[in-house]
Amino acid sequence: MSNLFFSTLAMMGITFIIGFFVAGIIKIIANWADFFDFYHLHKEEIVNMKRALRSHHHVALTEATTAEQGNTYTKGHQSLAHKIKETVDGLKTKKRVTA
Amino acid sequence: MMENIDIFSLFQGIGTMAASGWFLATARVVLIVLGFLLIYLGWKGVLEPMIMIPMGLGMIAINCGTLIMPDGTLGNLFLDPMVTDTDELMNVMQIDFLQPIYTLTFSNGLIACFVFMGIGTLLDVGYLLQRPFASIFLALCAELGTFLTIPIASAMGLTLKESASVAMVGGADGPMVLFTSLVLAKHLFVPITVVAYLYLGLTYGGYPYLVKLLIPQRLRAIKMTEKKAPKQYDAKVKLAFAVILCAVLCFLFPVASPLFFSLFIGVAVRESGMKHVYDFVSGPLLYGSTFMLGMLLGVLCDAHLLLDPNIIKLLILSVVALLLSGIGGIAGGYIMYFIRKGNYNPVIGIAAVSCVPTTAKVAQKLVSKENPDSFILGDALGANISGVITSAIIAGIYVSFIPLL
Repeated sequence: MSNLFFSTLAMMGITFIIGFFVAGIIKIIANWADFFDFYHLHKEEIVNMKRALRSHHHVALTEATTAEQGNTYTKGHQSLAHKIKETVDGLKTKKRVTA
Repeated sequence: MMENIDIFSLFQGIGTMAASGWFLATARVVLIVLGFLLIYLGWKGVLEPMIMIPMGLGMIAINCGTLIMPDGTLGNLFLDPMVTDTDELMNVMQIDFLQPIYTLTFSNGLIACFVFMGIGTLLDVGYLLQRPFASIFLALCAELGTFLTIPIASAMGLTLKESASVAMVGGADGPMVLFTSLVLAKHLFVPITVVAYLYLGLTYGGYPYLVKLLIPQRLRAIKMTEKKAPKQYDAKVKLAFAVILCAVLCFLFPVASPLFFSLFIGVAVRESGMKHVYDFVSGPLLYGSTFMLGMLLGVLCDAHLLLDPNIIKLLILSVVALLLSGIGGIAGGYIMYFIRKGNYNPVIGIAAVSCVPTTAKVAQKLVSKENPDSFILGDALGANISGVITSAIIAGIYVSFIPLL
């Protein structure tokens, strides 16, 4: 008799577990529906926001690229200036030596 | 010439009364009177007329229309549920006019599945989607009778399979009782199903007294307040619900998959916008199947079929199962009342005892009587639908686990 009582309790426990598992699935479906509802309700705003974010990203990327390019030019200019300076100095030194 | 005619042979209905002995004759008279009573109560609207009127008439006809068969035994020309031999069955099918319907729709559970499809079309699962945990919790509490009746029935001398079959009456779902007893205790499925449907008809009249006894008027009148308006879900969400839940439950309990499939295909038909199919399933199929079910149940109330030594036990255990389930549901309602700090009407608990949509209607009717401003039908229907799902889960568990114990 006690065996039967424990078996009944075990079946009760399994039913509760499966019941709450099913409730969890229903809750997931409901949340998923809420999410999609929210998405459709605010679709335009979300699209605009995404577009703004994308443009912002583009601007940031362009700025970064420009800055990098600017740096390269600056470095080039510096190197050229240095070489010119060296040449001019060299010429001066040579002139002085010759003299 | 006239002196040679035996009046009992000429009018065999009366003749079999004399031939069957006083005990069987009394049982037949009691069932005939019960048939009249069911028709009267069905006509008055106290019990479900769609089942009770054909059932009552069937009871009267089968118990009046008993005759002496060529082999000298008592029988009828309606059906023989005990026939098992295939050749004999083919012969009986050609004679007994309801035998084909019984064999091909009732004893294989098809009619239960048809009723379940129809019930599926009545279910608005939106209420369940709004509060899944609360609804399922109430429904699980309202299965108290389905569990506790097993040890009680075993203590009364029934086998484990018989105990589980009769305990399913506590789930208050006719098709589920029919299905479980067919699988677990085929020799008792006629009396169990007849008793179950009789009692399920009585829930409409009996549960209000239980609610009034266990819930004081002050609590029955509670008007629940919501912080935000309940969300209305789209048909596509409800369709997704039916498809996903059908897949999950069939995956878990293949033995009960015909019932899950039938229930969720009803929901799917309702939500998919197939108007003609919806009209057919929710109309002719549901009402036709319920009517045929009532008629077959009545015809199965043959006195010599119901005079099983276990019938008294089945009558008692079925009441115990339904009573305990009702108490469990109300206890669940009280737990929710305390969890929600008084903002919950415990009467909703009784609606979790499945029996769609009767118990939900009973709950709303009782609450409206105490407080016309209190509307609980949404929550009650959520619990009601959960009751069907939990009953199906338990049927699956019993059919899978009980043979292993």
